[in-house]
Amino acid sequence: MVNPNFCNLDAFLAGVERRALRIAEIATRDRDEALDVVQDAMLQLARSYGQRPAEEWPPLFYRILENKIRDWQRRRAVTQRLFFWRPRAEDEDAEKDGFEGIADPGQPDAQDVLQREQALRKLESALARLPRRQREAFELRIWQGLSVEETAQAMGCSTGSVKTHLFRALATLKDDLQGVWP
Amino acid sequence: MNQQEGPDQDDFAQSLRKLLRSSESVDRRTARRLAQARARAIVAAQPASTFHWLVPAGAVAAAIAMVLSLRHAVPTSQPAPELQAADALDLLTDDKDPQFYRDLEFYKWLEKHQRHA
Repeated sequence: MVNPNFCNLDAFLAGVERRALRIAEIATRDRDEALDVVQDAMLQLARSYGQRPAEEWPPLFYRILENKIRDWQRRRAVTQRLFFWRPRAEDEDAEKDGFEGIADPGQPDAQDVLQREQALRKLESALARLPRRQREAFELRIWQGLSVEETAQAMGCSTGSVKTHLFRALATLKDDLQGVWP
Repeated sequence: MNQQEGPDQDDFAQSLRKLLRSSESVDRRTARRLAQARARAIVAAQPASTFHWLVPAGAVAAAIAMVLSLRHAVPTSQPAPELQAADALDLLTDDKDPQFYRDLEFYKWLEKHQRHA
């Protein structure tokens, strides 16, 4: 017989997986790496907290996800020091960027799509440049929509710290996105 | 410094959220990989069965049973001495005492030594 908690866990993971992937993708700038990070986070949540009440999962999952992203960044920093002659993912992205801005004339709303894509790329770059705690506060509170309390739980800090990090994150993003944002 | 989210900040945050959430669609391959990752996580969440130890124990028992049965079925490396066809025929047809054949090796040895002497 299927445990109802596993059905709940499946539904929870299905609900957060795409957002988690995008968060990981902004941090890693690589979809495959992001998929691995998300899979590790899912596995750890299931193994360590699968039996816990479902309402505890969102902050736990995002905390695990942020830890996995940090682990990935540490590993990558070590790899880059060891294999410094290899091109970085950012450099490869920069090479692709030259073609991203070319609109498809066949699209009826190509201009809108292009503007939206440009805004999204700028936003992702701005997010990637944010200090880690500010980025986490923004992703959890604004993007994911966790409450201040849940965000504090996920980040392992006080609610006051969450508000401070978020305020600074939004102020920085507003500066960075000037002229791009409608 | 006021660090509360004001109405402007709220509008700005809402528009960022809207844009980010609109970017969450994935291609079919990625969707499949996410579903696989989810399935692995669900399997990992299942508590280990209390009878899982029976699987290796059963395998060991089966291996021991197989070794024992093979030992009985396969002849040992030192086969029992077989009589030559001619010896067997002699045994059946002549009228010698069966005790003679039991001591056959001794008589052969004796004959050999008498010949040398």
